[in-house]
Amino acid sequence: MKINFMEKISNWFLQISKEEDKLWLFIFVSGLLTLFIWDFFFLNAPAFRTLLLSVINTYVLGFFTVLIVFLFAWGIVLLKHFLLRRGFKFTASALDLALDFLESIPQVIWVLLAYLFIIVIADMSGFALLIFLVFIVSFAFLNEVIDELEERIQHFKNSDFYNAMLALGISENKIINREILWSNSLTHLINKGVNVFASTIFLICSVDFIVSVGLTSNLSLSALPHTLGSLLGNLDSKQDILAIGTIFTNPLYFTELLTKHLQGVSTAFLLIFTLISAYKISNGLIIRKKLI
Amino acid sequence: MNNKIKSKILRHVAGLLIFGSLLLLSAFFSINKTDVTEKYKDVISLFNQSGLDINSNYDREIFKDATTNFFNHEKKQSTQLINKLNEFVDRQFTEKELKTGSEKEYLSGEIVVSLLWKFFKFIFVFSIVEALILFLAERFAILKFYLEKRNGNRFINQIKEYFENRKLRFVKGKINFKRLTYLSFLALVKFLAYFVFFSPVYVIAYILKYNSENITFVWIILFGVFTNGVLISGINKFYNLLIAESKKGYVETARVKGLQMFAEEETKSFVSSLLKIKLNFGETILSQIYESAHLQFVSSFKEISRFVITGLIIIGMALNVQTGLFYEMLRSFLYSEYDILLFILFLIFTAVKITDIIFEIYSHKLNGKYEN
Repeated sequence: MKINFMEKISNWFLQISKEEDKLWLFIFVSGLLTLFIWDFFFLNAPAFRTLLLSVINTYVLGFFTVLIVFLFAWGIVLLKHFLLRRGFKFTASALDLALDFLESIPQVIWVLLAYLFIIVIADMSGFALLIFLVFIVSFAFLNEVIDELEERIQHFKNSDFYNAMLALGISENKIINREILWSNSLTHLINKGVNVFASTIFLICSVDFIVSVGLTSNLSLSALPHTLGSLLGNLDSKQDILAIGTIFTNPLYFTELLTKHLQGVSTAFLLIFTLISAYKISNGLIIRKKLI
Repeated sequence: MNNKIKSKILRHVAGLLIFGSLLLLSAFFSINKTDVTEKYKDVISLFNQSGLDINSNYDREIFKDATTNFFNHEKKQSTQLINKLNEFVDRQFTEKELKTGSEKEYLSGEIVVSLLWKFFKFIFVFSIVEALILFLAERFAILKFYLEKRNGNRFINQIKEYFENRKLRFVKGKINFKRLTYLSFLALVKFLAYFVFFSPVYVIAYILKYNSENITFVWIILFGVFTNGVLISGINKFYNLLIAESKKGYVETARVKGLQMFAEEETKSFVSSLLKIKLNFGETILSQIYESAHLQFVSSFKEISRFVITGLIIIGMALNVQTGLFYEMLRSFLYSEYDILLFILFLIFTAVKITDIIFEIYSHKLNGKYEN
């Protein structure tokens, strides 16, 4: 009976282990659940609530950034296409130059500038602040996504596929939007989306951490949505992370980490675990769907 | 140089000139030498005339009462004065020049020179980190490619083997715990390695109990290379390029002609060949694959360069590296010294553009070399 049950589990595991993306999605979800169950029992209630809120906010910020950056990129690609088709070469080149400028600003600077605007322009809070933050952060990844979309369009333009569709009388817009991007590039775009999601989380959390070490005296941490970065920047969490170093001299201290230093350890784990999982899911997707 | 590379470089130079001058001009136009206490002159002078102490809570309350009574019929005026007093007291707690009495810094010649010196130090570190990432990413990716082509994904295969093979899994009807422990240990080691590579620098630095005052160039370079996911991104990118190249038609043709993917040698000697500065795989398919992948990697290295700069900014700010350019950037944010901030942005933008130009020229040269 016992062996049957184990066999069932191993057969199921064998099935999903063949597809790395699905395997890592499973590892990611079960990792989160295990951590939350552990924290529910061992972390104090207010800290547990803050941790949950931070995770939700961080993922929501990441998700909305992906959404906005894809919308922007899609709009710009269509605009460039339209400009070139109508012979507005100079305007298209100017647009390229402006995009090149956006790309030349390292990603983290965009997030820092977003915080600066929040300080200088307005006392934002809640949803408005979230949308504004997402809007500015999306500039950091705009070129990356535009390049991906243009590469896909160019790939099909170089094949007979594009000309055949044109010969069938299908409009160029329909070919690009429906046939190329939607029907034949969705996996590539999902893969890019996963990467942008992970990079956004990394950047926002890093800047939130920097804010916590004193980016600006005008910006109160309480005005910003709690993220894993701001929670990690919290004094208690920093103490917990410092405590991890103790296991090099006293390995038995490991058990204490899982009970007494849970806030910082859980936050750091969640942040890094999310990044690793996103990387693995993206790689798995590349292999399964033969994207390269 | 052909027209294509010329136009690429021209585009970078145009971008540098247009947007660089915009940033530089904005920096100079936002220089603000005015004394911040000027705005509160009337409140301060009223305090001075009445002999009250602006730093005393009690005296401030007396001032507020007196002002309200004095401007009895003009409430707006008294509210204005009281608000100004409150703002001054708040700013005394938060702003450097009001808090310590020191003057606010602005983009003077002295500051420009000091920032330029810090910028050159940053360029020095940045160049080493870039070179190390280029060196290590290619070698780790080739090693991964070699091991997987030779043995398949050993770890995943072993896991699969464990679940597939009944004999391995069960010993006399019981679970083979010895084997399971070994595989779990392997998984743990791999997971920990990933953990370090993907860790944001501040997590690793706190675990290592770093001290911001004693942080050296070597630590910054090590953090810059091994944390923040920079190296793993480089490895992954180069590995994907190797895989994409290995699937191309010419590889099959070369195989048919009897060329080997790798020279017949042991893993040990293959690993030692990777430690050389200039990689040479002799008459093998890998040699061709490597050349094509290397060219594409160099051409698209600007993406990784941005990520390296992002990583170094995070290191400078999160770890408070007080001798660095990004600590100055953090200070300019903190004290709202926007002229200095814009000047630092100009320097970073220049570094990015120059890196782009260098990599364009290098990839053009490589292209010419391989075409010949």
